[in-house]
Amino acid sequence: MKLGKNLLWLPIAILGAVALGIIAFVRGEPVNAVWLVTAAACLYAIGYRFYSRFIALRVLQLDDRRATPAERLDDGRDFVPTNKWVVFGHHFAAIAGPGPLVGPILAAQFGYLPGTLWIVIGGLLGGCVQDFVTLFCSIRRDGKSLGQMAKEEISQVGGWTALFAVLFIMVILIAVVALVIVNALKASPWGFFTIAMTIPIALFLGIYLRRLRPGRVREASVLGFLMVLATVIGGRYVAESAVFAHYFTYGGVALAWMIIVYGFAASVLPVWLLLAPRDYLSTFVKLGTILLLALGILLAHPPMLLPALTRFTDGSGPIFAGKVFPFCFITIACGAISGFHSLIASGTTPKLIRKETQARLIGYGSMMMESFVGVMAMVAATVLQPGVYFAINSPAGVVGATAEKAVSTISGWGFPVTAAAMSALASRVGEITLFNRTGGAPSLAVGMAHIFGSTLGMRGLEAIWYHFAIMFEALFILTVLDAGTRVGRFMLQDLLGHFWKPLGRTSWYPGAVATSAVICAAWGYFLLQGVVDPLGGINSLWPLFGISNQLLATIALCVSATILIKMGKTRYAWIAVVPLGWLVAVTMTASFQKIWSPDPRLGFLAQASGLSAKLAAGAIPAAKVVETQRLIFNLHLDAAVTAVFAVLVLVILVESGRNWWRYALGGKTAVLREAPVALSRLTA
Amino acid sequence: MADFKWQTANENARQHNSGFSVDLSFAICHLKSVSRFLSSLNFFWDYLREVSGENDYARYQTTALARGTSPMSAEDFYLWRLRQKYSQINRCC
Repeated sequence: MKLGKNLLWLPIAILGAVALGIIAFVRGEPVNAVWLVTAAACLYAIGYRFYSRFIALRVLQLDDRRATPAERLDDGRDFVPTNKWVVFGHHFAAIAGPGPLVGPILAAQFGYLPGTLWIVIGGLLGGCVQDFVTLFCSIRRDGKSLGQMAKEEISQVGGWTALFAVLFIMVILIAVVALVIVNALKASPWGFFTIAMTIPIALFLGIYLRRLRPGRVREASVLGFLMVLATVIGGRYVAESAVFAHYFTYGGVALAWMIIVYGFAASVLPVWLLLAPRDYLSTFVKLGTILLLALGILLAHPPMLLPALTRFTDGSGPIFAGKVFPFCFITIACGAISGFHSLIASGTTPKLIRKETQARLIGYGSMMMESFVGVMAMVAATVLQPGVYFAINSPAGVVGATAEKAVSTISGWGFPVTAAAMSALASRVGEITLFNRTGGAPSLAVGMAHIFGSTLGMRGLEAIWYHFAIMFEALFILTVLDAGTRVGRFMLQDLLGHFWKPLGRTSWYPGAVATSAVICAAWGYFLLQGVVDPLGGINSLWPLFGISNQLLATIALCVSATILIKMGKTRYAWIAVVPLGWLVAVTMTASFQKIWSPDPRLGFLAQASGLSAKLAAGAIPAAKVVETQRLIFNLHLDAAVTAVFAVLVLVILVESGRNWWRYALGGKTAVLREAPVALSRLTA
Repeated sequence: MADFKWQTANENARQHNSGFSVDLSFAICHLKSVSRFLSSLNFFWDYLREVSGENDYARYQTTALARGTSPMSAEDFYLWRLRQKYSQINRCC
């Protein structure tokens, strides 16, 4: 019977292998996206059925007889045993961010194959395992956070490393997602109008939920969605108006300052007024749009026009410098493995889980869904003509500042595109221009508009679909931004409270304002730096974000491996150690290259040296001297930040390795700090 | 002749009835599909209520009363919930 059941998986395995073979080996003709989706779906099914089950039964030995903290400490507020599908919904909504959408778009410069393989295989063997095991560890420790677990299971140094890593990541993450938005909205009156209107809409919803119809979240979200839709449609008239368009058209620097001010305001205003309603709205829109995109891809089954591998695997890519290894694996973080997820998995979720075995669905399963979002984003990037894809995503500093120069450069790479075609496309989607719209958001929006338009037969509504997609991305990127700024402020206040008590009180308004200003200044600095970077801020900031995120994943996997060893599961510790080893290789190689590479497009110090030499030789125009000096300083700062991340990775590895060695030799007793065991009285 | 007419009349009636039966079956099937669709929507709407946290106060109130403690008001709970949610990392990149 068991053999019969397992044999049912044979056709799935064969189908998956065939699909994988097609996407990997077919050359010279476009491959249909359905093959990519099929390969991914089959691998996910097999991974969930066999690998996650192995981890649940053999490695972690999940035990439904044990009461979870949600049951033992049930207080109706923090600890609440909740239906597994509701927890799944909560957890997926929390982990699904812009990362799996933007990363694959950028990594598509290598072709669809490297990114897709990393998303699926890296996800199943790395990200899903990290999320699952971290969630389990936190459940067994009454919902302790990653930082607390790092402190207790590794060492105090491990705990402090985790804290600093999280703070650094928050700053870089917010800067880079803000840059994505700036690049999506610059010189775009329609887009800017739509996003600007979400602020008064969110304020209205805040008052609606607090005063008019308290607690009616669904109602408010539907109302908010309809209002936002109206602004998406109305934005066309603003963009076409000779009077109003001017007031909604801004360049990168102005937009960056507006976003900084917005982030500050959202952090200091009462959370019910702006942050929470925006979050509700963005969650509903995000989940609905992801489902729509999945349906659209299945119905439209578009061909993937980008090849499996492009010439840029050699490191000469225009979107970001660096070879496939390690930069494909740095660029795609959240869709494959993201340290940030371990913070979510050790946050609220472990306090809601009713039964231990449900951690498999929630931890492993929701990361698998997130990985699938990354696959869909890859499809959306690859349905574009390659020339169009590169024209949108390449910075002016690489392809040229004029349309003619850009199309000449890109066509010279073997991806034909004309200025007339780009102009027609821009006109169809209601934009002034689509050249140099780096960051991934506009090209994702064009891809989504193409898929939605061809699915529902509404090609004439391409502009609406495009701006709907921009709105959807901007909405939840801004949620990450304002929630992240607020959390960063709390963390900073917590840290500074050790030195001066009043600063530690989050309700003390002067402290809240001051620390919010510090956090905004930190990410705002990197944002402005990215906006003025001639090579495109994505080239420098996105790898920083990827490295820092993988640093946090390293911490999470070290904690997981340590706990597995302490549980007496040393022979199974490879489930964490293998992805850990891979991540260390990737982040260290990437860090080294970003700091020391002699290629000025890749290495921060090389680029700074090149600019210094030009300054010394008088080759920089007088008007640009100050800007160049600032750029040189920024490059040194980026190199320093990268070095700090690399050092933190080494610290955590040394600390963990020290412990493992001592446990192996018997020099240190493995003390498992789990919560007391109590029998569960709940049914699943 | 009368038998034939009677037979023809019966056949006609049977055809008419079977046509009517087909229409009725189709309508019932259609109604069932609509009903299933509506109950799926209802289920989804209830699911959204849970995920959005609309039921959290009712659950908290039940637990507090069961413990013999006096629960905070719905408004205070809403504000507390928001402060708790947004004081920790709850959104990923």
